[in-house]
Amino acid sequence: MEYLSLYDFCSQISQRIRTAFSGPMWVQAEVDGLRLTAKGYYTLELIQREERFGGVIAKIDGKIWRNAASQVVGKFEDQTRQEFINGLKVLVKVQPSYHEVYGLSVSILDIDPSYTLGDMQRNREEILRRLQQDGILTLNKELPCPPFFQRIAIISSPTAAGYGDFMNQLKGQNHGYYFHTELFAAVMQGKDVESSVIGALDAIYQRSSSFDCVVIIRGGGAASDLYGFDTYPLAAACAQFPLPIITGIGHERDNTVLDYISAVRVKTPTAAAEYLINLMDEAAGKIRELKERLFKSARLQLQESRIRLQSLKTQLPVSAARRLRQQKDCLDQMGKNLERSARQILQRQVLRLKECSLRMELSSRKRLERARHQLDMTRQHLFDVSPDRILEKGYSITLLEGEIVKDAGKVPASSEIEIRLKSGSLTAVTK
Amino acid sequence: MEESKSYSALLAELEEIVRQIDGGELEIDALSESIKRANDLMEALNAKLTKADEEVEKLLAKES
Repeated sequence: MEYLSLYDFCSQISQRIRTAFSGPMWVQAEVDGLRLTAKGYYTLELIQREERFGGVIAKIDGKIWRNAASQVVGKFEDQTRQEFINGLKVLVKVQPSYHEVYGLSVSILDIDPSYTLGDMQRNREEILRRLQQDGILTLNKELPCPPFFQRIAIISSPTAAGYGDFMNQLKGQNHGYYFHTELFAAVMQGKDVESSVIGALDAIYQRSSSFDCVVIIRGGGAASDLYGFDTYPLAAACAQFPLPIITGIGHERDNTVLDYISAVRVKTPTAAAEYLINLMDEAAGKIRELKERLFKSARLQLQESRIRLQSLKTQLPVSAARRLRQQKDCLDQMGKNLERSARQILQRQVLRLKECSLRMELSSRKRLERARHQLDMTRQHLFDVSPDRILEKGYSITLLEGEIVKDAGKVPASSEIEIRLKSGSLTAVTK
Repeated sequence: MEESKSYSALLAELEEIVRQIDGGELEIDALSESIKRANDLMEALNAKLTKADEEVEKLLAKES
């Protein structure tokens, strides 16, 4: 029976792996069990988790050798602004090898920063999408903001440079603004960020009426470890917090989920302090402006009142004189009117008299005329009934002893009667 | 009496007198009485203005 020594056997494995993997390959994995050895190289495990429950379905030991460590890890941290830590999703360039004593492992030759950045971004986007779906994404931004914040709850690490920067900036202001600050200490990096910051938020929530806002600050380190801030529970706790949250978590280029959901987001702790001071400045400026406007208005109003009063003072004697003059003119006019009226009355009376006399004359004439006419009529009548006029018509008048005979019976027989005709008369004897 | 009334009430009374005189609504008998009243009002208004002026300036001096 043929056999190999273990060394030969392992050498063959080694040989075959070298042949099978003649060149390095890019592999997508998660970092776990990372350790920087005293000799200056990293040992870690590259793992793959099952998507639904997170169980490990593949694992391989890896090393980043000292000669490559600073270059590979340095470049990664520089470009991602993310410390190379456990839990990161990485795209690594690996060369597998098998060592007769140490077994199978991969040497990590390079890490693609853009892949990790993309993964972090995808993670943030996923959290934001969930917050949106749950209807809480903009809750903190929608909180009513007072004109300035004076009672400030700070969540930070007491030893963090960022906290120091913030406090120095706040205390160093020479405007004399008073700020009440209270630190709620929390771990600001690594995997404990979530539980620690949520714990601090809970403590503030118990006394939320004592504060105007919450400031979450960190920063000041070289490479930021912001991974811990991008978790759904922490983001949800911040989004629903009843006080406005101001974040100053990273540096200029860093973004976390909290930055998207906080009421106010500034880049750095120093900027957070500047923001608070600026709000005070604005409020103070507004008060100054109101004061100036108040005095300006008061002066203006007084000035206008003086002008109005002066104008009334000037107007009064003029008005009074005019009123008197008007009254005098009125009287004069009335005098003139009176004279004219009297004259008019007299004229009217004269006219009436003339008219009366004329009418009288006319009436008299008419009366005379009528009388004359009546006379003529009478005269005509008399003329018509005169005896001569009767005789003229052929009638005759019989006289007895000079008396007109009207009744033949009263004339005795054989009386001598005279019968007058139009021309001449006859004497006759009655039988 | 003028002290207790507001500036605008006094001013309104003064303006009413001037308006009545201008509008010929005032009896001539009442004219001299009204002018006397108007003078009193102007004096009171002036006093109020001066007082307010002094107070504003005093406040300004204090604030600045």
